[in-house]
Amino acid sequence: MGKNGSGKTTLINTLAGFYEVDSGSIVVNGVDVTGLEAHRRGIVVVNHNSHLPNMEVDDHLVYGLKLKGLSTDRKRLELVKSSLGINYNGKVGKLSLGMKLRVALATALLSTPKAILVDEVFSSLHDSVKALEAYKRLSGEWGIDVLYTTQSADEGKVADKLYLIESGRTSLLKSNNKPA
Amino acid sequence: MNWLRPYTYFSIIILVLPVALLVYEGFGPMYDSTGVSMGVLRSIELSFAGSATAGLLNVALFTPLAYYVSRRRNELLATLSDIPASIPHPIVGISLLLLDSPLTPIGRALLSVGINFFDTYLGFVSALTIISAPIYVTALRSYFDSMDRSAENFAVSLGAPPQRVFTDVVVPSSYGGIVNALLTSISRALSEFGSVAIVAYYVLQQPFYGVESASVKIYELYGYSGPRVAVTASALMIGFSLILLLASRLIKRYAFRPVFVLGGPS
Repeated sequence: MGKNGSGKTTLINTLAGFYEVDSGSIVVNGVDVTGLEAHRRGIVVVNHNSHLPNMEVDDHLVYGLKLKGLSTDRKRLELVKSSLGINYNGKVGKLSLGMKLRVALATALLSTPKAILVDEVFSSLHDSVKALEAYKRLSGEWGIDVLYTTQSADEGKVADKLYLIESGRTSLLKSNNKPA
Repeated sequence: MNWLRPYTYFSIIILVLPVALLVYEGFGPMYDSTGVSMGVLRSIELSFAGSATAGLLNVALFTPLAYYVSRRRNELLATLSDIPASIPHPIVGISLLLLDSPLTPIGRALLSVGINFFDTYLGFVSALTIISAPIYVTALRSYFDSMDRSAENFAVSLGAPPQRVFTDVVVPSSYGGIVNALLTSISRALSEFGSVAIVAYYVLQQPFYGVESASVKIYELYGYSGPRVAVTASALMIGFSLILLLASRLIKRYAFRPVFVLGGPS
């Protein structure tokens, strides 16, 4: 959690490899990814504009899998779609913001990355806490770590570990002693 | 006093007056039927065909370059790609002929496989492509610079390498920018004279055997047939160019409008 300008997005872009690191290292699941290019890190970033506008919804959802050369598990696809309320088709660029965000979150999940970084996205969804809980359940079952930023205390309560970020510095506010 | 508006109109008059006067005189008091002869029409046809071909070659050859320069902020590559626009165009013509000359090893190799620039459609299009490419790259680079990069970053984070980002995300989102840059480069190619006069004064291949480009033809008419014929031929060429300009404006305005969707469930 953190206010505007506290460094949430900078942290996410740095972890994802979009910004260069001046000092220190980034370790994901025990592997130092600091020197890896962004597309090799296995860290998916979802923000308000994270969608591929010219793709159809179904193609979009499996794009990450396609990049890895993996086939689509229909059962898993349907589970994600129903959990996130994706019951629509068409070009992603023509959907409403909330619909786009659900597609982006689902795409990230289906690509089975090491981690998903979600930048203030849930608060733009209808019934954000419910959507967040569904996302947490799915990602937990599949062993994918999710780091999300928010300004909402209600959304913060869903997290296993809750950090406060101020001027780029983090402090632990809450921990459920589960992997975060 | 608000001087901006009259100053703007004054600036436009400076740009438009000579052309408007030429069109008026060419189709009015100075009209000469030789200026709209079949020879002139064939020259205009050659210029449009060559410029369109050059524009399409720009799309195929230089779209990746414009993107790469934009994303990597590679000023060295940007400067190198701008060289043909910053040197006198007859020099571009001479350099093309030298490249394809039996005096150089590269030229001998090209000629041995039948690649000949001198007075051919290939040479004509090559000159137009090289001259208009910097305009294409600059226009498209500006478009790429202004694009929001979130979609690209999303694809990258999903594991897309740069070439997949380019083909899967950037190109499908950039048709408007590509067409805009294409039309700008075609307009530039249409007006080319210096390099074409050196490389392919005449095209000596069918279906344009013995035809000059419009700019060369008008220059020739001015020298051999007098200003009246040249003015009429110029007015005709401007008419066709205005059609292209109008078409490009309409395409930009209506074909690639962004789609905004408001409301809907979230």
